[in-house]
Amino acid sequence: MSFLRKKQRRRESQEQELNLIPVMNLFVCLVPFLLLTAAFVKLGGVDLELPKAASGEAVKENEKSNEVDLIVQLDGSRIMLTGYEKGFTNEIENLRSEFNVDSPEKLAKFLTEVSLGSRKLNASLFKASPQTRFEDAVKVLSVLRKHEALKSVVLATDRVN
Amino acid sequence: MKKKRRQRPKTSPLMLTPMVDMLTVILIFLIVHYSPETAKIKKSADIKLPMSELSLKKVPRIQIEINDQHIQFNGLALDGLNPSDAHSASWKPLSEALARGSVKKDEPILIMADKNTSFVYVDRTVGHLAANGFSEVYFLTEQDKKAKEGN
Repeated sequence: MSFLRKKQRRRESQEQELNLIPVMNLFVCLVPFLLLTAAFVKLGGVDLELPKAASGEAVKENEKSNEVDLIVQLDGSRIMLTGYEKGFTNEIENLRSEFNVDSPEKLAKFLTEVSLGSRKLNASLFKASPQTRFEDAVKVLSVLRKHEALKSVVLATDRVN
Repeated sequence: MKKKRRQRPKTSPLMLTPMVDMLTVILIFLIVHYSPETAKIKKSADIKLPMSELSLKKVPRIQIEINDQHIQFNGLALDGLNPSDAHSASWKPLSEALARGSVKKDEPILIMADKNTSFVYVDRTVGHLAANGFSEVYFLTEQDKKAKEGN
């Protein structure tokens, strides 16, 4: 009799269930922490330079460079692009172009064509009219910033007294 | 005398296995999406960010949120500063906040604004930052799904 009870006790100890309480404790701690810090929307950013008081070196007149500086003006939905020789000295006539903010890929394509030609892109100066929406400005700035050939994108602002 | 057998109350065991399965899936999902950098951004919930394909590699310490009524500096509204006022005297609170925060001139500043905000307010804010000697700003955006890896 006692031998049968011993056998039953041995079987019971072997059939012990998995203890899930420590696992549950871990989940109860980790899940709220990760929920609070979870990023369901991926954030990005457009990095820009601001104009400095004395910017760049003065380009000497007798030094000819094939580098091009651009001025990009956004007025409502119109993007107006003007090209200048390095240092914003002389305007390059055949680089004057106009685009629509709803098709920024045309601006990107134009920049690629210029950079593949005889001239190299240097810096770009961006200016937007007051009625421009922030979203449209970011759209154009993203195209400029993303273009590998442009060395820098400077945000031109109104003078502050 | 017959002894009354005590009947054990019938209790069904708590089935923890499905709950653990569910929590495991949720945990793996959250670990994959864990991003401590974006948790540092103090942005208002009602702001809808513009889209961009560019990524944000590092979150700047100084964060300025702009709308047409007020400007927030690291989550705190700057009293007395109305972005629609172009007079430089009314922008003193921004200069004072930058001075209090011991912000270095070469430190980048994160600018956040709703996509429908008029650019004039952003322009004025950035203008005052440039006048205070700051040289680098980041515009916070929502990353486009078409963004390439490593951008």
